[in-house]
Amino acid sequence: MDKDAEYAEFVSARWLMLVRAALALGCTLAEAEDVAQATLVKVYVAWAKVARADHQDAYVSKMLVNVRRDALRKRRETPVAVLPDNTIVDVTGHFDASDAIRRAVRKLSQGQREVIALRYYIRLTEPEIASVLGIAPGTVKSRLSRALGALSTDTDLTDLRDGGTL
Amino acid sequence: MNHDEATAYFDALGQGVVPSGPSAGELIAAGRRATRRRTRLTLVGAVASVALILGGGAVLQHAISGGDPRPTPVAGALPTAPEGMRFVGMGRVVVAVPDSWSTDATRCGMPTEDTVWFPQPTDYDCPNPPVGWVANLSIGAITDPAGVRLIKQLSEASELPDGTAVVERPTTCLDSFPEACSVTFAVPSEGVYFGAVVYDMGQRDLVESIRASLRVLPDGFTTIPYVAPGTPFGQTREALVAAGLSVSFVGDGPGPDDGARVHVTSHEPGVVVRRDTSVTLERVGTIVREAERGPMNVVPPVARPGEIVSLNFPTEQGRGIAFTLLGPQGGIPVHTYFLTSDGASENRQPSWSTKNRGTVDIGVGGPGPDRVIIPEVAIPGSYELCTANAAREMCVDVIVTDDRVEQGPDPEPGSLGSTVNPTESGPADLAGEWGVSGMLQFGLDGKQDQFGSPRDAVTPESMTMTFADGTWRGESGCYFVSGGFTLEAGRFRHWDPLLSSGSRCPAGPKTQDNSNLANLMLRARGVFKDGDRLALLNEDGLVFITLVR
Repeated sequence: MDKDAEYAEFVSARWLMLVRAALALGCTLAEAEDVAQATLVKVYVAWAKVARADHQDAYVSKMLVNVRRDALRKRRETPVAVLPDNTIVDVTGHFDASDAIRRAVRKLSQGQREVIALRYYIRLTEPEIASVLGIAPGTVKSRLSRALGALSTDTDLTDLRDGGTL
Repeated sequence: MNHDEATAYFDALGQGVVPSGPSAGELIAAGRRATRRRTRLTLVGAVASVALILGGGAVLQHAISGGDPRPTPVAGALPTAPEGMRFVGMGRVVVAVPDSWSTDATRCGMPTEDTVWFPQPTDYDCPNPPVGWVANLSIGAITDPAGVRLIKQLSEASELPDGTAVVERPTTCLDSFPEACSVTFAVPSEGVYFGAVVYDMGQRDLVESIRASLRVLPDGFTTIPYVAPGTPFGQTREALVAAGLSVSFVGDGPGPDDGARVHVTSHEPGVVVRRDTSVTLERVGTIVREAERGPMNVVPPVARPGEIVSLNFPTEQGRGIAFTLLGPQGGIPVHTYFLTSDGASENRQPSWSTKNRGTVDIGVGGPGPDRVIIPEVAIPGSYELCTANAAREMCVDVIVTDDRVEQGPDPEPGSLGSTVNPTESGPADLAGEWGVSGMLQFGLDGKQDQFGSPRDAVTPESMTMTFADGTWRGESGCYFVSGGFTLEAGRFRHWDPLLSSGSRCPAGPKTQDNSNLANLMLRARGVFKDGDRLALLNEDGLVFITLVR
């Protein structure tokens, strides 16, 4: 199989996973698709390394996190939904899974979002997350613990968890 | 919540996410372009490394001086910018901006991403500016219309270390929006002004570091002047030679003295180069011959700025989605716009740019119509609309007209542009779905703020607003915006920050349009209701959106 065919197969298999992970990083769905696309373009450029990687998903997740961090730094195009007020509430009552994920992680720090995204959408282990993010395994553990603790007590999520929407 | 519960929780949330699928073909094409860019950057990096070695004296002096972040000029050496920054400027005056900032990424005279740009007089005559909440540095001549206005506002005087006089308005941040900080300064003896703006938390230091990096280049260096793409070869060459540069012309066909419209392809405007550097020009657009005007026609042949026109191909003509629009004929400078069609597909939106950023190579067949948009900034006149990557080049003439709606002195109350008092209305009066029958667009009006005065009345193709109990939702094509409201006596007591989404839109750039729509909605402060007609008013009572039930 040639490079383009292998890559196309990779895109098909990973697209949804990357979009969900980007949502867990705090993106809107449109941003998440853009982040996933930008990541996959980088994957194409570095395909030789990706193809050789022992753990492709770990390798690609590092790219994903970096793309998101770059976007946050550059703030190239800022959707109105997040500017200038941070207290945005979806009052429509309309259930949207992508909004729900953002709502779930919006009170977490960026570091906590990253471990959540890598743990629950990329399915990396804690040591793998530590390697990808360049932090100590203990830090991964503590961030996960605090993130889950915060989610457990987040009253905004109670309805989503218990109300039958999920 | 333990690990298993969290797994189930996020699984359940994730199951509901249905993003639009990417096209592996487009990603592969984008990946190939990125690979080519990276190869070029590697070459540039190698050259830069050599330059760094040649300019090592400056680096060494910088280290010995205790790490002063401002680089010290050394006569004859290429100045080195702080790490992660690059020098840009006009003439002999430069400042350092982040490496990540692009150059001239603007639309309608407003930056669309973090960028360095060179405002042009036509930038301020824009009926539909995009949102400008991005960091940017504008550079211009103090004799330009914008420069003349700006220089009057610069009251504080200072000097560079070499004694060069500077006038400025020091860094200021808005009280109401402290993330927005700006600094403006000029070097009168060099005839250049700079304006830096950021809209991001913690970026005040960046604005100040840009100001602190101001310097006059040592002898032997200059910057690439900005020349609008599409300017005739003679004028372009004149501007470059005046800057001390030499010019070479690359391309097939008739020679450069035939009035060819060209653009600089070897350098970005504003970058620092040695004088006598050779700059490469290439032809833009197409030399039109009569024989090539048959196989494509345009409907309508007369269109307004911002209007979408259809290109039809009565005989089978393979083509891509890239087109160019050149004109107006007889105008100086001639503008060149790079258009992307929808490829005769409902899944693609037509778009335009002033820069040729390359286009995904998508083959299109059949009779069309391929839809393209006439840029909102196109000034009236006769244009040539040509295929840009078809095996057989085809061109048609398009007349761009300026038929803006003139607001009469006494418009009917409740009509677009009229000023009225809100009517006594509550949420129940608004309940239900309304179709948007008209809306105003806002021009910059010579100002650099978010919105200027109303310019045009336009009729949206399909836009609806639905009011329910305390909530509202607006839809426009694949975009939607929504929020909550409280209405008392026709005035919105609160009008929520917006949730907006383009998640139903095809993949690709979309945030800008999304923001435009949402920003317009944010202006609503009251309503005027007359039977089945409804109008949204801004804080001045100006009707900027009309709706019918």
